[in-house]
Amino acid sequence: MKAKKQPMLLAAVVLVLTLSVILAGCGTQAATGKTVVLRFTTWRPTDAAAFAKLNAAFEKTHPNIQIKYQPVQPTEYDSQLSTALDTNTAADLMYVRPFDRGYILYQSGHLLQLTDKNVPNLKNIPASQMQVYQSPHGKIYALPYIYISYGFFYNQSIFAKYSLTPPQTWHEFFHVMDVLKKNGVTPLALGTKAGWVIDEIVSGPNYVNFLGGEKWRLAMLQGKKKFTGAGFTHYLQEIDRFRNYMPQGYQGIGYTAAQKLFLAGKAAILPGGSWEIKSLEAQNPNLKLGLFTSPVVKTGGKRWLPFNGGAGVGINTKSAHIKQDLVYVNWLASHQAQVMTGNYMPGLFPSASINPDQLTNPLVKQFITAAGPKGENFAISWPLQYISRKEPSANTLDTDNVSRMLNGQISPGKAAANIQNGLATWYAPFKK
Amino acid sequence: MYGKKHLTPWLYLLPALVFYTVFLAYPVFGSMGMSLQKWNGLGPMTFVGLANFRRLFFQTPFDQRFYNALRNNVEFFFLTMLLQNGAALFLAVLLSQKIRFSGVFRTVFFAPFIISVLMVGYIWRLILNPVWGVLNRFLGIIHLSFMARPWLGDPAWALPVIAFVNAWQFIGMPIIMFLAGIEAIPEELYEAARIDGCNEWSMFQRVTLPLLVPVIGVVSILTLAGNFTSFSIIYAMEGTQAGPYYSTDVLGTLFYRTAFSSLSGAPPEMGLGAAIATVMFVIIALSTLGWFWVDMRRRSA
Repeated sequence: MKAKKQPMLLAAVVLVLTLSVILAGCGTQAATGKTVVLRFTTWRPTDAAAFAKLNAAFEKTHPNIQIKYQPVQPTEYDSQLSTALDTNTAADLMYVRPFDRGYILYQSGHLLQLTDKNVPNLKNIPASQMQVYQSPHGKIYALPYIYISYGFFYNQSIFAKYSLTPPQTWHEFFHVMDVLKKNGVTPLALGTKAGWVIDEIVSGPNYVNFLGGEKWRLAMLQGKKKFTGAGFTHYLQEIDRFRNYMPQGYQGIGYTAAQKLFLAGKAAILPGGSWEIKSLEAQNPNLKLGLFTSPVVKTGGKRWLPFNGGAGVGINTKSAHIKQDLVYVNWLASHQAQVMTGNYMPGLFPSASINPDQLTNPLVKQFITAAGPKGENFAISWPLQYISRKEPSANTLDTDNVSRMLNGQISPGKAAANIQNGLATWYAPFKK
Repeated sequence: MYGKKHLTPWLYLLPALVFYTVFLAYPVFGSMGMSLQKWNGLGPMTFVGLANFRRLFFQTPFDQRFYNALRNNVEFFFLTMLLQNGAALFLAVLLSQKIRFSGVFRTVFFAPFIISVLMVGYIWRLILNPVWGVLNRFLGIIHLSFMARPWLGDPAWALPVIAFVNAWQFIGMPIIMFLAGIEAIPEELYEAARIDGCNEWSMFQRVTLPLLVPVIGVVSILTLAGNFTSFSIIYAMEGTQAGPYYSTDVLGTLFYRTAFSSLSGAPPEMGLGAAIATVMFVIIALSTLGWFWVDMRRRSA
C-alpha cells in the first residue's frame, strides 16, 4: 500500500514547490517595485569593503538603484569577462583595463561611449587622465576612475640620522645617495631580478622631468622624438648610475626582497608605486615613511608627476539599465565619491581633481598635491600608450634592455637603440 | 548471451572513456584548432591557417623567444637527468644495500615531494637571496665567498640552480622506482656474479644496470614529459618573465606570457599561445612514441 502511494505524494510535493517558487517570484517583483539592481564586476576583491561603503552612500541618495559589487580574482578577470560577454551574461558595469587591453573591449563593441552629455561629471577629470581610456579617434569608452603613481619612499629615521632632506633635483638625489653610501647604508632598495619593476617603476616613469613629460611623450609617439636622441640616451645614462647605489648582488633581488630590505631598515630609499602605501604601512607600522616624487633637473620649473591608469569604469552596451548605469558612473566621477575613493583606497588615487585637504593619509595627500590643482602635472609613463600594443612592445623592450643595462651587460646607448629599433619593426610613425 | 558477454568490458570502460574524451582529448584537439586562429581573448576569432607557426618559427622576436625556450627546456631536461635521476640511481643502489635506517632515509628523500611548489620556490628564494641568503653566508664562513653569486639573477647560474631545486623536490619518485626495479632483480644473479668474482662496481655495471634499463626508460620519459610541461617551479622562482633576460624561460612560461598574462601591455595572443602548446604536445608525443618503439624492438630482440 505504502509503496503505491509514494509517487502520488512526490507529485504533490513537486507541484507545491513549483507553485511556491512561481508565486514567490511574483511576490518579490511586486514588492520591490521600480528598484533596479546593477551588477558591477571588477578585478579587486580587496576593495570589496571600500565599495560597500561607497555604494551605501550612493544608495542613500538613489533609493531606486542598488549596486551589486562582484569582484573576480585579478588573474581570472579577463577570461571570465570574455566568456560572460560572449554569452550575454556579463555585468552592467565593469572595470576596464588602461590603454590597449581596455581598448579591445570597446573595439569589440562591448562598451558604451561616454560623453559630457551622458556623464556630465566627466568635466571633473583632467584631459591627461582621459587619454588612458580614449580611442585614437578621441572617443571615451570608460570613466577614468582610479590611477596609480610612482615615486620614492624613504626611511625618515635614516634621513634624519645623516641630516638629509628629501631631494628636489636629480643632482641632490645622487648627493643624498653618496652620503648614505659613504656611511655604509645601502641607498636604494632595488634589484633587477623582477624585470617589470625596472620597466614600470624605474625607467617608465622617471623620464618625465628629464625630457619634459607629456610634451616629449606626445612628440615621441608621433615619431618626432627618438629614443636614440641625446635626451633619452642621457636619461638612461643617469638611470644607469643607480647601480652604484643598489645592494650587493642586486641582480638576484626581486620586488618583495627589495621591499623587505627597505622595511627592515637595511636600505634607505625604495623606488615604488603608490599601491604599496597600504602594505608598507601595514607591514612595518614603526617605520617612519617619507615620500618624494620624481625629482627635477633644475628647480623652479614644472615638476611632472608620472602616472599609469588604474581602472576605468565601463558600461556594457547590452545592459538592460543603461540609464541607471549612467547615473552611477556619473556619481562615481563626482567630488563626493572621488574624495571617498581617495580615503577608502589609499594608493589607488581618484582621477578627478579634488581638494587634497580632504584626504586623511599624508602620503596620499602628497601624491595628489603633486598632480597640481587641475591635474596639470600628470604625465603618462612613456611605454604605456600605443607603443605597447604589439610585440615587441615598449614595455617588453624597456624591461629587457634597461635591466640588462643595469646589470652591466649593455650600454645606455645600446639600450636606447634596441628600444628604437624594436619598435620600428611594427610601429608606423617610427618606420619613416 | 554471446553479444552481452563482449559488451560488458566496454560498459565498464565507458565512463572513463567519456571523461577522457570530454576533459582531455577534446580540449587537446580544441587547443590545436585554436592554434590556427588569431584571437585576443575578447574580439572575434579569425582563421589564419599556419600563420601562428610561421611567426613562432621564423619571425623576430617570436622565433628568438621560442628557440631560446626550447633550448632551455632541453638544458633543463639534461640537468634533471643528471641532478635528479643520476643522483636517484646512486641513492637507490645505496638504499638497496642492507644498511641501518634505510627506511628513514627513504622517507627523508621523499619528503620534499609533498611540499607545494610555491612553498619550495619561496624557501629556496630565501636561501639563495644575495643579501640575507644562507647559501652565500655559508660560503663566507668556509672562506669561499669568492664563489658567492646573485644565483637567481645570474644568467649562467639561474637555470642550473632551478634544475637543482626541482631535482631536490622530486628526487623521491625516481628513487622509489629504481628501488622497486633493483628489488625485483633475483638475488641468484648477484650470487652467481659474486661466485664469478665480480666486485661491487662490476656487479652494478653488469647486473643491476642492464636489468634496470626499462625502469630508466620510463623514468626518462616521465622526466621529459614533466620538464617540457614545466611552469610552476620557474614561476615560483623567477616569475612569468623567466629572467634574467629569459635565461630560465621554458615553453611553459613562454606559453603563459603569450596566451594569458603578459606584463607587456599587449593584448593576449591565444592562437600563438595554442601554437606553442601544440609544439609542446608534439615533442612529448614523439619522444614517448620513440621510446615505446625502442622498447618494443629491445623486447622482441
